[in-house]
Amino acid sequence: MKKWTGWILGGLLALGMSACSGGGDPFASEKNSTEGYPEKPVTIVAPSGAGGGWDLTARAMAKALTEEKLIKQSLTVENKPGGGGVVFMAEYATQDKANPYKLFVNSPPLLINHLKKEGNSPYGYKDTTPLAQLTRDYGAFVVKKDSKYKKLSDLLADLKANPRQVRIAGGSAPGSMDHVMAVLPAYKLGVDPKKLKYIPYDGGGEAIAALLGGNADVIATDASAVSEYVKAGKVRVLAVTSPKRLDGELKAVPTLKESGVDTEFIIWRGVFGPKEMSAEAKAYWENTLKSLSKSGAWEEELKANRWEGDYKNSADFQRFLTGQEKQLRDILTEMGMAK
Amino acid sequence: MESLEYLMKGFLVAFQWHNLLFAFVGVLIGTAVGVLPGIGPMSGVALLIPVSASLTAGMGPEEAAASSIILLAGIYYGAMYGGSTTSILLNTPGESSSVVTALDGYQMARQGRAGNALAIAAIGSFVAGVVSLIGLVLLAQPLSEMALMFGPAEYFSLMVLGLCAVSGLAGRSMTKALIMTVFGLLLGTIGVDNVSGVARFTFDQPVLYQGLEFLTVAVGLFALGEVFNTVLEGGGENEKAGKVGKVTLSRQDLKQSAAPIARGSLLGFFIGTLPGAGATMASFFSYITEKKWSKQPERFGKGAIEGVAGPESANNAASGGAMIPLLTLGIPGSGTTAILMGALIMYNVQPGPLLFEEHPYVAWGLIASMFIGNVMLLVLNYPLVKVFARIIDTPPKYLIPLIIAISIFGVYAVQVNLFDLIVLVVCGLLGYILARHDYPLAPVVLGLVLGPMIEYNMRRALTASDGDFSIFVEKPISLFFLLAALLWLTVPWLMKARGKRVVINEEA
Amino acid sequence: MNPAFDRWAALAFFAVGAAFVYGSLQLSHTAYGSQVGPDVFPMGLGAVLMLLDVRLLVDTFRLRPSGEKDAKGNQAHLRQFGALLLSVVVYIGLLETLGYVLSTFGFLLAGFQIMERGKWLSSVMIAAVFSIGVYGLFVGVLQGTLPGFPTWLTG
Repeated sequence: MKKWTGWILGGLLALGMSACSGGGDPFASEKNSTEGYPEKPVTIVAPSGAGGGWDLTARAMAKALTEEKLIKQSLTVENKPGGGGVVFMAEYATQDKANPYKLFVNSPPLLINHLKKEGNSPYGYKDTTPLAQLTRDYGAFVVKKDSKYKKLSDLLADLKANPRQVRIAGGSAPGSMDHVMAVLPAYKLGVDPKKLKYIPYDGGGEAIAALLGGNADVIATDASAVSEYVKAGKVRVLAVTSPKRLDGELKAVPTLKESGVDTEFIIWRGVFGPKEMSAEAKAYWENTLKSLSKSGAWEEELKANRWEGDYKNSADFQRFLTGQEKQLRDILTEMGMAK
Repeated sequence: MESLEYLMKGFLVAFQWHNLLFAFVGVLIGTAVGVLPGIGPMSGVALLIPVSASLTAGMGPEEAAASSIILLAGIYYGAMYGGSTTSILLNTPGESSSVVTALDGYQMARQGRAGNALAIAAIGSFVAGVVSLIGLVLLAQPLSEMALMFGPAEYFSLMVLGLCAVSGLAGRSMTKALIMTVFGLLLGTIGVDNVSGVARFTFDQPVLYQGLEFLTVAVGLFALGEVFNTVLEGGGENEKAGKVGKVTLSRQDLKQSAAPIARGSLLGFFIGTLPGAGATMASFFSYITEKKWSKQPERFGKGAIEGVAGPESANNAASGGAMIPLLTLGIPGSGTTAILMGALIMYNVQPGPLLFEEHPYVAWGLIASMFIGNVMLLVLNYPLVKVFARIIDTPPKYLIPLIIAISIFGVYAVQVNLFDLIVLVVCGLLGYILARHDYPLAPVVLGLVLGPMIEYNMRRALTASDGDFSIFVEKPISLFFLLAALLWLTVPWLMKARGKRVVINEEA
Repeated sequence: MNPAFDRWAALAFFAVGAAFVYGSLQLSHTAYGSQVGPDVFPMGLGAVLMLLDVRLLVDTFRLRPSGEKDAKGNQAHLRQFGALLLSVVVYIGLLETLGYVLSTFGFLLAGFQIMERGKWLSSVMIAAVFSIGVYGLFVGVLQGTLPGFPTWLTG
């Protein structure tokens, strides 16, 4: 019948295929022959759905790297939702353990998921190659403006006297990051974290709603999320988990150390590669991510997303993670929630 | 009034030609995305954030923020509307809030009244959009404070009331409807329990840690179930599902729909302001209310136009109501508004108590654009109704494999997981078998949505009260809902006992 | 109602209820910081489901069938359905190995032919336009995630 349609179709198919295979064309290797790795397009995985913190970090990173022409191959961001990142790790640590063209973004849940008993991930950061830390945030202890707690020490004294009289809320389930952060100071002062009353909500937004509506006495949440409420005079921040005081709205807020609790908690975000990564590929990403952290495009992204840049190279990052894992294991064990 | 003055300024922002264009493009893309089952408003908006960012690049920061949020809000409304289109035409809810629309909408389409169903959905959505806009302008502040008073105890009681409403979804057998509800609630317990952090019924499989995805189950039960039904019952040959009827609504249609639209709009708006409850609850409540108030409840489930008009108005009004906690408190009430909030933050606009003071340009521009978006939805969709309705005239030879392919694409695109596709097919088979034997499917879906909310809120409340159950009756709002639920269950029986003829879904 | 089916369904859901109750017994009874453990809710629901199934079973004996015939689809439809289901399963199985475009194209072509033989040209066209169009739009324009092409094809 209409033969020409077949031709058009064939052409379309071929076109589609060549367009879709993107930078994976055979010429790519020639262009980069001087450098070797990377010879193919690289994928950055955000182990969550579109729109979350990991996803935003991965996309911001891909955008800045491309804009600054720091990488000659094309970069794509992929979402792999499921089990708070556990689904992705199970696949990555087995099937992609030697694939240097797939990196991923993560934060403290990478450690916590591996340590906790329920919803455990059999794979942790030791099954990856930590490449760099890119950003950080801190936790904040927040009460309503009219709360009787003016200082963290008041709250801790009450918790010590009777751990069950204060309703502590957070944005995620027990055994997760918000929970660990919430009980950290009381735990450090010798209160049994199992006795504390922790009410989990779906996300930081709902936790703040519970606080404002009088359904929680204190919440632990990301410091970057509360400055607006502080400015509006709705809440008071008792302490932040940073080593030094923060800038901006939270300048007047003491750190945990100043409040008499010798600890800190950093919500880091970083980039990881597969466990079996060649020295060449590792060195490539170390250099590239270092240049990224100093680039103007990355500055822009940090500003747009209200993140604080905090670059650590692979070795420092690895050392930092070892320390973090120990701290988290101790506290989860104490709570009876460690594996 | 100060707000009106601001609103006028907002309209000036929204009426700038490029913002009109953005609203139009947003509504258009949103409708297209919403038509895909599986990809609801939430993933639609999330996926289009980068596109909107590149479209608004090169503008000043405030203008770029206003324009892109107008675009994204357009996508939100468009997707809400697009979801109902497939519910009506293909029995395929695009998102959770259009599940109930499928109940009567699809029956209408089978009777050749697809055009009427789509038209009333468009009109209802428009009216609801206007109602929620007025509500937003006048009541934003008091309502945001009311929404905050909703603690775990209040949510629990509201959900219990919602669950009682399930009885309204029964077919001939109440027992079967209850079995389906409990089955849905049980499916909802799979996954890591949010309150204790304990993994339940996951068999240590990471894919189950976050539970069964609602949309996967709904698309499977409804869309694939119907496809399998068509093939097995021989509809795949040449029996036309029914011609696209006249698109003009009769006076009878309008008369029957007017009150449901009004009730649905109000109900939807108020429920929408509660974080977490949202559009799904609103549309369910509206459907149940209409059935309860109707003089002929037996028409429901068989193509009653009220069953489309009410819920469609309610879910659209709810998306307007959901803007209240987002804009005034910075608290996103749903997944979609959470993503809108993320987008605002990207433009350095922090939604929250200070939004209206610090960024009036963005806030009022957005509110005004909601109105414009709704007008555009109507303008765009009313003529398109005919085109859309043609879809069901596609020969089954092509239509059936395409519906399967679209369902698989929609689910995979959001979940990126083969496991969800297996769940999809299993749910399809289950949906076919169950529906065939008069086991209603909507209660499964409702149970799956409400189950975790009921359970978590109950346990949150009990954690706070140290296990004291009296917390549910001590709080006035909670007590009110519990009493309403009690009345809901007892009144029909009492009336029956007094000899009044009331239709009760006992075994016929 | 179809009593035979309902009896089997009652038994099946009874088993589901029992399985959930059994599963709940394996869960911890006390939850962290909470009085009501994670086992209470599913156990209660499982029990309710079992009770409801008993009632359904009783109903099947108590009530007379509504006279509705269980119209079994005829052989041809059953075969058509079987073939379609098989191709869906194969499609899902090959989606990640063959990539989105190729597997979707194959599935649609097979599906169209299962529904009704013939009209190869338009079948091929619709299948190609859909699979390439969806992939191009979603991956190219929206930057979404779908499996691309198999490595042996792109090299």
